[in-house]
Amino acid sequence: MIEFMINLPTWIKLILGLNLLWTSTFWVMSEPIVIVADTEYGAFNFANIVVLTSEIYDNRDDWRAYVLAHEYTHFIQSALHTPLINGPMYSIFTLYSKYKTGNQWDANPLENQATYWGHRLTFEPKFVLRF
Amino acid sequence: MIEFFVLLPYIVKLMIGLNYAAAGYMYVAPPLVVIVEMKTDAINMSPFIFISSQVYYSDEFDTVMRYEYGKYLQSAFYTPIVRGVINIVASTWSLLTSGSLTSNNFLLSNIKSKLDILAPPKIIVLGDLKKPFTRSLK
Repeated sequence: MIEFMINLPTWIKLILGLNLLWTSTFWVMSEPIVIVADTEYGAFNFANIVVLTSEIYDNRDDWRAYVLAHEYTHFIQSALHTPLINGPMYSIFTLYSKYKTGNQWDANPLENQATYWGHRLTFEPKFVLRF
Repeated sequence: MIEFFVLLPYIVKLMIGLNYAAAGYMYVAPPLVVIVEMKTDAINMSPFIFISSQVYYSDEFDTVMRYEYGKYLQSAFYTPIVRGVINIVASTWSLLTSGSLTSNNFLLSNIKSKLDILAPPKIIVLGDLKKPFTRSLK
């Protein structure tokens, strides 16, 4: 193990180190930063950030609660798998889902998990930025 | 697993986060060596390595630093908390089989056998914490 660590190329150490440092922010903050901005996509998650349109965020209804919990689940997936693994994993599942069902969601286990927990979790964000 | 994350108390999440941060730091940056006055030669709390000022200014420093760098690399690989747990198992095993915490400790044996290749490329010395204070008294 010591030889393995010493012989790791610097660029791999850099990638692993940055991935671990990035992962630490998920656990220390423990919830994503929500950005309310009008984009052509209703809601999406990228690592520590969840982007929602004001139309979804400002309507205090069940759909808002579901979308926030759904995106929070994606955040947790990244925290548990680490971004370096979660990103490629999501891409592979997306390709599989597109091949199987024609869209990126229906046969994507990460999306199915987020949909499942979207109906069961409650998430009210503390860190909200508006644009 | 999702439920596991949600139900974890914040203090546990914070510890896991700091554990990842320490491991991440160890991949991208050199050990932080803190020189202190103490009876033991060195204490490793990766990424910090506390070294006795007596050792730091002696010929022993090279060997002690290599030994501690071995622990540093193990902590980066396993992450500090997991290495701590493995070390408890290794020390208990050593105590049961040899009557000493270190002589049959597989983590430490692994380091001892690789001392010749364990030269840290760089270290960051955080300073002799006692001497400036002593000097100011003179």
